[in-house]
Amino acid sequence: MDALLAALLPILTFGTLAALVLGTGLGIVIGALPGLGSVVGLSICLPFTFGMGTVPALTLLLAVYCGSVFGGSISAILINSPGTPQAAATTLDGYPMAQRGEAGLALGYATVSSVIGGLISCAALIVAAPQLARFATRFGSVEIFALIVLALTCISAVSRGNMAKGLLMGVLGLFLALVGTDPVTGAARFTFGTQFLSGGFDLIAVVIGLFALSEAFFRVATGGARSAEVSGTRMRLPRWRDWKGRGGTLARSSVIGCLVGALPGTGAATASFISYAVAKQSSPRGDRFGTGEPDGIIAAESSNNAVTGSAMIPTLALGIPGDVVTAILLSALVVHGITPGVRLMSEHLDVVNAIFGVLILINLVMLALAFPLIRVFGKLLAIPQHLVTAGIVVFGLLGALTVRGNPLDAGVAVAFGLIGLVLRVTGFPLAPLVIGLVLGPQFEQNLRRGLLLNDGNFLAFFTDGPIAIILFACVGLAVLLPLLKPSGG
Amino acid sequence: MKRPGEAAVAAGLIALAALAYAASFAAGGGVNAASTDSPMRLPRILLAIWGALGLVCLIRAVVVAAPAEDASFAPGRLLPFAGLVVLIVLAIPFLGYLVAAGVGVAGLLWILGERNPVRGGAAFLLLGPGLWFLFHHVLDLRLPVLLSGGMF
Repeated sequence: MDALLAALLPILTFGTLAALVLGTGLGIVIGALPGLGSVVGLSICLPFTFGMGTVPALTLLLAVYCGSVFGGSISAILINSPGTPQAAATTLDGYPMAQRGEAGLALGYATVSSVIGGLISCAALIVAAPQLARFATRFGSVEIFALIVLALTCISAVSRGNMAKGLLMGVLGLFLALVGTDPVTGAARFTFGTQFLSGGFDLIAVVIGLFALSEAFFRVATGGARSAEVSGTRMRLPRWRDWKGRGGTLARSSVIGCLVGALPGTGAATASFISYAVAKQSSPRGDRFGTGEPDGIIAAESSNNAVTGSAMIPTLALGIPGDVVTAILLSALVVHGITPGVRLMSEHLDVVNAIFGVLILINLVMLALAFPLIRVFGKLLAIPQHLVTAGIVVFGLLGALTVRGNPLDAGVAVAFGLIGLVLRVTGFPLAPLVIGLVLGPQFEQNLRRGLLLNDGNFLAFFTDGPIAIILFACVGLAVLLPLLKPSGG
Repeated sequence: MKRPGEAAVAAGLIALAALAYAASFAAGGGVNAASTDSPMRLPRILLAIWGALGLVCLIRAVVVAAPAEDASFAPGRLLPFAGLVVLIVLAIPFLGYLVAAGVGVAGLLWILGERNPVRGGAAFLLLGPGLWFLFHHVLDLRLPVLLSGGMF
């Protein structure tokens, strides 16, 4: 009870509550509009957080994230076009239900499942993160180095395209993090004599470029997303008797979402498809999956929203972001003067408790906001896509300009926007690059400290202790397992 | 060659790694005689791995067949749009945000096909001066200005 009060008290301010409601609403809208997605949504909202306090800033970003994951289900059900990749599995049964005239009920199942999945995920986060953080205090430089290598390997292994591309992007991200002044000796590295590069690349400018601006460029180059037409729909919550025999699917899928979400690089889309497949096998109505069976919606939506909380477990407990969204959240922490890492939970417990409380409230606010936002969904879809594209560019430039107040950061963002466009068109995954850039400084610091402690002998890392041995063994497995799979191109 | 675009990117990345590797010696920060630690050691290791992985990607791009394309990519549409965004960014340090982005937003909307004067005007006012006013004067997040200490 004391912990709950400690979590809720910092949130109960006007600024934080306003950020919570506005962020959730905006997130649902962004998620519902096909083609934008959580990362672009967060990139657009980042500049607004620079002038805020730490807790309202994180609240806004978390609300946009959670809202967008849920929002994707609205367009998935109503127009058969998932607003976000996370909602792709929801189309399989959501749209057939809408075609049968049960769109309101399908949205009701999606909303309730999302909220319950999100709340179960919050519980997992609140229970697991402190335990993991306590365990992580045993980590020394070698263990942290091994952990970063494991995270990068996992993210690269499950990235779009092949593993070599993912690893290449991860290494590129690590390298970019080293550009600037060496923290130990003060020597300039790859600055080419410029003052601007001596501070290194700003993470937020790079993220805005790679995701927001490259999305705008991609839309222009491919003709962009087309507006669809849909009439207004009222959401109808399922009754108690509608849930009969479906509780198992809801609970199982939420747990799968929590477990998948805690693994680096996997994400909500993977979780929802795994849950959908498991539910299809285990549900007594499995033969009806794909024809408008509510169990399919429950499995997909509870699972993808269960990722939102559990993805924060490695982020808060270890300072290791599992995906681009959590990398952006970590960068927001840095902007507000908080250094992410294994000491985050002990040194900034108030912020971590606030995150716990905010995540619970977001799920409740999501339930309340779903009713009015679904009714106006038709009007949201009518927003011309070229105006959305122009908006992405302007918000992207504003975000890059305001983070350090340096106009050259806008140039960095545009350069990375064009680089991001080329990379995504040629199938190079962007997530490992960002994660590498986030983890680069920690990677170098722990590697060099570990080498100093082991007299420069890198091989000693592999026999440093049981935790390091297990982590490096996991790295080996993460590299080898994809190679053992039959090649699918 | 099965995937020319991918091969070109992989080759470009390898060339970039080679250039950076050469630059790491030109910078002169490579050796620290007093210690096994040196600031250029890790970057060089990463550049070597980068080059090797780039080579793997290049070989794959040459040998493995491409999957079916699902989006029509037309660089012709992109060039004026991206060119104007670059111009806006180049102009911001000299003209300030309001002038550069104001003119730029009008141009972007035109390139994107906005011809409705009412809707286009509203979008221009919101995305140009509107957002500038919100950030510069309401949120107090200072944007580059035309004249030092000036309002704009």
